[in-house]
Formats: sequence, structure tokens, C-alpha cells
Amino acid sequence: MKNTGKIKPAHAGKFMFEKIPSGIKGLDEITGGGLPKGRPALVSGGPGCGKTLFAMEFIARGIIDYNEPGVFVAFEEKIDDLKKNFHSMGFDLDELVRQKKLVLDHITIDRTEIEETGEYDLEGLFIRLGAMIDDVGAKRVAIDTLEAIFSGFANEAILRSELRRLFLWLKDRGITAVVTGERGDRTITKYGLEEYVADCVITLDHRVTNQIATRRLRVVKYRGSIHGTDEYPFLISSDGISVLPITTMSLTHMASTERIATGIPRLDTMLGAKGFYRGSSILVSGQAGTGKTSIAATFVNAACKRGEKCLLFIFEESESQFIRNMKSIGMDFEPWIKKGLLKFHAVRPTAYSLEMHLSMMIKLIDEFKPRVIAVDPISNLYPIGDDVQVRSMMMRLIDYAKSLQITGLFTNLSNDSASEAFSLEPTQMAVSSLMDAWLILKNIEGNGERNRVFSIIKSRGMAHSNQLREFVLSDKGIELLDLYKGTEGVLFGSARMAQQSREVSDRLLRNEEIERKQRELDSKKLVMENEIALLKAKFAREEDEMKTVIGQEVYREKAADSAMKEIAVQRKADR
Amino acid sequence: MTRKPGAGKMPDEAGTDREDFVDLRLYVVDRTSRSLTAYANIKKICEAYSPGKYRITVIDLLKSPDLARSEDITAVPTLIRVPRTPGGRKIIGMLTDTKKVLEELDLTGNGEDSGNPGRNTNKHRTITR
Repeated sequence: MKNTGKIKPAHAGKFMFEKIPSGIKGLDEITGGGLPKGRPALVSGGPGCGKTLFAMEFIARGIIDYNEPGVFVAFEEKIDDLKKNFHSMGFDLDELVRQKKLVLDHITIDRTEIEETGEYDLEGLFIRLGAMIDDVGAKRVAIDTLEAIFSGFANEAILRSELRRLFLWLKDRGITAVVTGERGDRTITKYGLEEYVADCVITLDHRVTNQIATRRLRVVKYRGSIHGTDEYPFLISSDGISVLPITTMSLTHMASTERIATGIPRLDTMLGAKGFYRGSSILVSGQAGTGKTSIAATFVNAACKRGEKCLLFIFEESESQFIRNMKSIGMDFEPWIKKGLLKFHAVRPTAYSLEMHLSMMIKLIDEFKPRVIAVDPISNLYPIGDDVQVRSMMMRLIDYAKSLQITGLFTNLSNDSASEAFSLEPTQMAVSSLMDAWLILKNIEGNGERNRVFSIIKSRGMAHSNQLREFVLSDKGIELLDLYKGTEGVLFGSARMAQQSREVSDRLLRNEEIERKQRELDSKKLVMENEIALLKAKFAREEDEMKTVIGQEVYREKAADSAMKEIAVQRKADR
Repeated sequence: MTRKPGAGKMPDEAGTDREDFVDLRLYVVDRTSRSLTAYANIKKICEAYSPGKYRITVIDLLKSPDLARSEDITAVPTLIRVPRTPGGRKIIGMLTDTKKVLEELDLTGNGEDSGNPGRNTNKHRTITR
């Protein structure tokens, strides 16, 4: 059976439709390959949500990218308007028509121009379509907005049976068709076209929340195919629609073991002397004025020095302001920009919705192909989305960056109202779990001044320092200093300096005291020695005197004795 | 099908450019019963209300499919009076409602309606019999 060529070889025992690329960026990823080949797909949505663009991109990209000629039938827009509108998106429809690849047809359906009497059918439309399809050998047909025929003809019963016949007819001819329909109040389309298109139904939506419009696309139904059922934000830009899968389904990105320097030597040493992993995501959070932007800039600067392309998303400052400010701490970004290594994307957060921001970021990443991205700061996204939304957006961005091995640094402004300690705030908690590394900067007030203190909260997959560092910004850039641990606890800034000098003077004083004591001792010793000498002299004197006295006494005794003997001799006394 | 009873061989050939001449095109697809009924109905109407001063050209889109696009035909059968005038409408269906058809073609039934003000605004549509 040759016909089974339309059906792919058995897929796990289930037959599957063959798919053809839609030509719409991102849609093929969601649908696992595109639209069902040889079948009609219904695209429904409210006014201005991009139905016509979807249909035209399907046709034009089909011709340009996949060499499948197409027919575009417009019920609403005039051919000239279509040409004009799509010229601005880079499609030269006239040229495609000239090449016999495209037929554009406008069908006027106006009830005021039609009078109905008796039964009729839409065979004219079939003939017309058939002629155009044969003209260019079309493989693709777009009908925008088919439901317009309901406004043209009164007999709904006829229309319904003719529509059913039209879809079958398209299928029989093996045409892959995109049929657009207006969204109904409770139904996918106003007139229930979805009843007839059983294979693939896609809805487009254009919603406004917090005054920010977001376009979303959802695959409502895709028979015989696995498809994402989430609402996917999409973007209409100068080169058409691009749809973003909301999250990648699994965590399959390769983890790099390559390490990249942070641009702050002392931080590298805190991170096991090597810096962050390539492809990791880094959160730098801190209060206002703690130096988050400077860290981001230093990181980017270091990457540029290595010759790596960097993309910097800034939500607070303009590009020139950023460059000027960073010059004051010794970084010049202008050469990097000139070399094409650095690109800024400065935009107000409130300019777009979260999805739009994400789309823009991903689009820029695709175009610029950076190795490092930085977002400063992600907290500025909170006014346009709640925690869950921001988290989901960040997750998508980080996933996307990781899948391309792009290292991402994200700054986050944390609340000033937090206590002095390194408290972990809930918003940070929400985002931080997505991050591989988390640095915290803190202002610490005391002694009438504020000082910056820095620490690494986490850094997955590497040994890292648990110590706080004082963070100093100078015209030479960022410097991390050891905290002063003295007898009076941990000290920062001038307190540290004061303490240090106080200690020096204390030491000097102590030395002097010792010397003084020494001198005192010396002199005491001298006094003592003097006294000893005096005593000795006195003793010597006294000894002399005593000896004289003793000598005299001894003489006197002897003299008395000899005098007695003399007397006795004279008296000739016997005994 | 496509017999072309009227095409080029009208009894009143010389009068085709007359104001009251009714030149009609009937677009059909194939010789379906619907096509045939529509043709029979319009012929009957013309015979009754504009005898000798009409021409019906039946165009089968199967044979000339490109006309569907150039003439902007969607539904069949479609009856158009030529030359087309601003406000001139297409009549679709089997043309079963004679009164409606007459109104659309600005034909007046047996003169009963002639002079009905506000209807015959197009000067060349006025048929006097």
C-alpha cells in the first residue's frame, strides 16, 4: 500500500501522523514536529491576536524555507493590505507570486451584495481553491478567517454541511491547511469550526494583565500526537511569530566542569581558588547600594577580557549611565562593545510583560550567542509579575542559558527592612533554589557609617569559604578584605581601622610602661646598691671604732696586769 | 451541460445595448439538478417579464475555473446581471423566489409594479412593456 506513506512507520505500536514544519518559530518544538501533514489545522483567537500572521507565516515560510507552494485565501483583509503588512515583516509576497509559488485571493463575502433564493452550495469556492492549488502546485493552504462566510450567507445549515465537505476535500487533496476562526464566547470559535477540524486546534490569545499585554498560544488538541498543553507565550516581532516552550521538560543539560574566574581574585580563592562553573547560574542579592551591579559588571568585564561574548540586561540604568558608573570603579566597557564582545539590552521592566521580556532575552541570546549573560536586577521584574511568575520566567531563562552552557549572573535587590543579620527573604528563597551559587551583600551600619559585607551562601558542587569579607569599592574595582576580629568582636570599615590603630597605640603604650618599669627597677636596684654601700661604709667605720676601743681595753688590761705584778715583786710577797 | 441558449444568438440581437435589455450570467458548477433548476427558473422569469429582450449566459466553472476567482464567485448557482452596476447584487440559489429575483433584477412584473417609486433607480434597468 503506497498510501501508507502518509503515515509514519509504527511508533510504539501506535500510528502517528506525519508532521510538517509549521514555519513558526518554536511551534514545532511544542507540537513535536509541526502541523499534521495533509490535514487542516484550526487556529482560533480574538481580534488582533495574530491569526492572520500565523496563517501567512505558515504559507510564506513554507514557500521560502521548505519549498512548499501555497495558497492564501483572505476573507477579511484586502490583498494590497496583506502585501503591505507583510512587506514590513520581510516577506515579499509579490515576488513569491511572480515565482509562481504563491497565490493570494481575496473573497468578498458581504451579505448586502448577496440575495439568496433557494438552495445553493459553495462549489464555487471549491472550484476556485482547486484552480489556485493547481496553479502553483500548492501543498499548503491558509484560509483567513473562514468564519467570515457565516456573515455572508444566511443559510447556516448549508454552510455547515459545506464546511464539513471543505475540510474533507482539503484532506482528500493532501493539503496541509491552516484555517483561522474567530474566538467565541464559550466555544473555541464563534461558529464551532472546531467540530470539523478534528486533528489539530490551536488557540491564540492576547491578554492584558497589569496593563501589560501578553500573547499566548495553546495547542488545545492534536490528535495522535503528544503536545504541550500549557499556554506558551509568543512574540510578534519584526520577523514574525516566535513561540517559547514554557519550560524545558527535563533537566538534561550537561554540567560543565570548566571553571571561570569571577574577576575578583579574592572571590575566586573563596570558591576553591577557581571561580564559578561554566554554565552555572549565580544569584547576587543585597540591599540597595551594596555593590551588586559592580559585581555583575566585574564578572562581565572578566569574561570580556577572556574574549567571551557577554550580554547584559539592565533594567535600572541606561547603557551610557552604566558605562559611566563602571568607569568610576576602573572598568571600561567601551572597547568590549567596539570589539563586539559586549551587548547591552537596557529596557524598563514595565515596558513589556514577563513573557515578552523572556522572549526578547531569548531572542537576543539566539542572535548574539553570548557565553555569559547578566541580568541587573531581576527584582525589578516583580512589579509586573508575582513570585510564581517571576520564578517561572527565571527558570525558563536559566534553563535556556544552561542548555547552551551560558553562565548567568542575576542580581536581586533585597529588602532593606530585613534585620541586620543575614536573613533569607522569601522572594529570594523562591528564586535562589534555581541558582547554583548565591552571594549575599549586606550593609552593616554602626559608628555612624555603613559598610559592605560579603559572603557566599551557597555554591553547588565546590568547596567554598564560609567567611564574611568586607567588600570595598575603589577606583581599582572590587576588593575583598578580611574582617577584623579583635577583642571587641568583628569590626568593619573605619571601626576596623580605628581599632587597628588603637591596638597599635596600646602596644606602644604598653612597651613604654615596660620600659618605664624596667627603668624604675633599675633605679631601685641602684638605690639598693647605694644603700648597701653606705651601710658597708658605716659598718666599716663602726668596726674601726670598736676595734680601737677593744684595743685600748686590751692594753689597759695588760697594763693593769703588769702593774699588779710589779707591785707584788716590790712587796716580795709570797703566796 | 452548458447549453448556451442565449449566448450570442438572441432573438433581439440588435437591441443588446438597449437600456431595457437584460443580460444575465448564470454561474454553475456541473449539470446538477440545482443548476438546471436555476436555469429553468430564470429562463421562465425572463420569458415572462422581458421576452425577447434578454440573454442568459450559463458559465460552467468546471470548464473555466479561473472565472470563479476573477468574478469572485463562491456559492453556486450565482446569477449576475451585466454590466455590473454599483449596488448590483449577486443572486444565489435556485432562483425559486420569483418576486425576489424580479426585485433584484429590477424587472417589473407585467407592468403591475411599473412606476413603483424608489425601486427603479438605475435608469437602464427600467423595463417598459
